[in-house]
Amino acid sequence: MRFSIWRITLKVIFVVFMLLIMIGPLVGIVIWSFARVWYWPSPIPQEFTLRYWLEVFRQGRVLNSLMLSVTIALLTVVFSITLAIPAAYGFARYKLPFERVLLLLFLMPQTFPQLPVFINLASIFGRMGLRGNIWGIILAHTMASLVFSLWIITATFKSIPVELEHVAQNLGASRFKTFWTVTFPLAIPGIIAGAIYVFLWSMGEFTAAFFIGAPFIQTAPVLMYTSSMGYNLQIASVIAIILVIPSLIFMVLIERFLKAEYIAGLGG
Amino acid sequence: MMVVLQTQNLCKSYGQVKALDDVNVYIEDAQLLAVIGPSGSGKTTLLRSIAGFVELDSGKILIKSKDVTNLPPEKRNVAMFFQNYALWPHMTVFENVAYGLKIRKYDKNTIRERVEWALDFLDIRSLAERKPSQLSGGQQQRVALARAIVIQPDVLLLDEPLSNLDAKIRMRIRFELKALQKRLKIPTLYVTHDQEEALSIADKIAIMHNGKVLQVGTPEEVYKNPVDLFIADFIGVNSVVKVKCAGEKLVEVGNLKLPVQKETVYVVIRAEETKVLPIQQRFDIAEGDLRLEGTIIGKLYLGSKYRYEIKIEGVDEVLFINSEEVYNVNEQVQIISRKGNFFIYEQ
Repeated sequence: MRFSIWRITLKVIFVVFMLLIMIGPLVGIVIWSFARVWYWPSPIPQEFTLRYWLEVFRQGRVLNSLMLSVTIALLTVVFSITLAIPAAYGFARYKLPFERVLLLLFLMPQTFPQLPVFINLASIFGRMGLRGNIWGIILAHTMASLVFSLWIITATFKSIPVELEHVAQNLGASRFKTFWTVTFPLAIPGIIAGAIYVFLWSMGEFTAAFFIGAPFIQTAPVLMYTSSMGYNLQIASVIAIILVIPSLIFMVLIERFLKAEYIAGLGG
Repeated sequence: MMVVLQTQNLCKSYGQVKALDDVNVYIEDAQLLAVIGPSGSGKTTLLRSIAGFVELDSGKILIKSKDVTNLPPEKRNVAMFFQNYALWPHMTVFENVAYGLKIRKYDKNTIRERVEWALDFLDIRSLAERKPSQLSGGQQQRVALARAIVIQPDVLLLDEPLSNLDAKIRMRIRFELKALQKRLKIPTLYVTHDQEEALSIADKIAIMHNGKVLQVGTPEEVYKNPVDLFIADFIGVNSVVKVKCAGEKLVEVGNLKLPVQKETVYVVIRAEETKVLPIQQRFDIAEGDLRLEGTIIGKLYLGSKYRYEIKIEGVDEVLFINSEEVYNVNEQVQIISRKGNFFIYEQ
């Protein structure tokens, strides 16, 4: 008995600790967004206000930035996943020369510090006329996010037994037909995971959006950064909270929508 | 008689290993040809090359006199049954079975009719709307079989179809499978490592070893007249007596004096068809029968009989022979094998 009580106590401590790590910062941000005066060491602000929320919505540029971020993230997902699927299939099913090297090559943009990579990219894009242009950011995000989508989807394809494809071919399906009727439907959970990851990454990405988009394009993270630089922590908190909303909506929607379609497709 | 499937001089190497070494087999009419051999003998490579999943080094595959050697898998109209069933987890049983017909662009009613026919044929109509994950191993096997036969293939390829079932069901399914194949009249190539399964189910048996086909014949032929030591030992339950001859022209094995040219004589004795008798008992042996004397050194109870471990003077290997008689360890016995129930080879 004593042993099990200890176990339960440990479990509770562990859960509380995990919640603190995961939800703690979020709670802090939510409180900050309503704080007018909040001096340490008080656990809650001395004065609350709705002013910053109203201000953010009155200005409108926050919502514009948000729409911009969502647009960029959605297009990045489309390009990144569309490019990753055939490439990942190649990596998963065929013995490509230098397979390891190629896969590592896609990792390159993530291995270096982001700052010099994107500053360089910005100067290259500048010469190509892609600076201060959302397509420049989308291109940069697509290139940098390929590593996530490619690795996740390659692993997904590899986990699908090749016999499942062989049966389809054996029953008369072409390579292409086999892919669309067997491999792709079975890979959907992994592709969704890749899409969610890319979306979230693009929504929160600052460096590329800042150097390539400036000065005309201000995505939500860039706006958040500039407002917190002006010591307006409350505005930054409000933006941070708003920034979470499309990500949550995207995650719920893509799961619901794709699963429903997936099941419907099987019925016919 | 019409030859439906014929392979001509198939060769395939993986590096140094010859998976197929000049393989020639054929299936006539609706025969069931069992290809047997130990693992690594090339039997699965043969099956996969007929399905089109192996690129051959040389040779030809003819199906209904048409050369299909260079056709992709989807253009061959052979249906392959995979050892692990390979059912699609995202489709129901009905959709799994209907797949081949949808690809062939039949209209909805025809598809429904034929899928239902196949499901009825295998007695799994009630499972149509289930997903593979909700089926038992035996049910999955039937679905995989239904999916293969519903397209009315020219040849049915079965890759170890019974190996994932437990022993009791396996015996029953063996009969069912044979009956099913006879009713459907589909030429079938059946790959297995289980010689007993092959003997009971096949019209013809091809025995493979190291990529070569060693013998093709009816089950009776390969059991009664195995052409070499490997086949004699592989088929049935046997004990092998190995006698080295030190340069002599005649070697004595029990009562037999055998002329030899090579170094070693092997006598393969069918353990199921050999008598074990007390040493004193008089027994008239005919010309060509084999009589050995030995000592029982171990015994196992098998229910209806015993399995005896018998040591013979001057022979290294011990013999394993089944008998209904009861003997004790260390008892002297005589072993009688009638002509035709043992085989002699030199190597």
